Amino acid sequence: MTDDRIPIVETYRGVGIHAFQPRDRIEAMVKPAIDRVFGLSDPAALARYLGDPTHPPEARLFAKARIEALWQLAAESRELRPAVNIVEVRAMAAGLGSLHWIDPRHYGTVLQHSLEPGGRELPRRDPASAAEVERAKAARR
Amino acid sequence: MKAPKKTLPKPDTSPPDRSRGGRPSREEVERRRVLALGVDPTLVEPRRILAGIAIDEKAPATARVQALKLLIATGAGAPALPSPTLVDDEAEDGPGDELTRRALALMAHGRPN
Repeated sequence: MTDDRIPIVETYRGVGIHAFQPRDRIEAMVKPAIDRVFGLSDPAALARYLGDPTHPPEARLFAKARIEALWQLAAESRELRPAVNIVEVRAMAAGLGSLHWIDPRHYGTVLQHSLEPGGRELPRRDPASAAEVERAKAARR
Repeated sequence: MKAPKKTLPKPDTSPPDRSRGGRPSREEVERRRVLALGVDPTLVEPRRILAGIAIDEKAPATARVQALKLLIATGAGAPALPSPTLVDDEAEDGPGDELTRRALALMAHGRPN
């Protein structure tokens, strides 16, 4: 069985940063986004962050992991579970770390819901990185 | 004719006299048992005993789990979840709280999304 994970180029504060993106984007967008998620502990705020496809996939995955962790910690101490639908949370993160479901044109997954008409456009992947994604997907087949 | 009034003897409420013998208290039994074994209670290492229970495959599972919980609580055992920050180059910049540690462990060991 082959590994379906998107390759990790580096680890920032324990969070893996995906390949197929330029260094500038990692420094200017991905790392600050991860920093922002580190500051979030409210399940509703984390779920909102996760549900926004304009955010980097690494930070969204980290937001999902924080919600799951909140859920686990509440279950272990027999406290009230966070007021978010955990199934919906998992669905919102579906495909974000998968090489099979990676979107070659945008940063994210082909499974992510599109934004409403007139809304913000999803961040586009640069042509060189998009070509790398296509090559990696073809090699996996 | 009026019957003579009978009075019942009052129960003895005074504390029992241990010097007279009788059944020894639980503490006394424990003390005698320790003395008989020749064990100095100050030399007993509780974590060794807990570790012994934890690794004893013949011990009941509940006892082993309880021993492991106590060992983890005292910091003697391994952490419940391996922390991915151990292999992180930026460990000193890494997480501090339990929520973050747990989240990173989930990311490191979970299936790809």
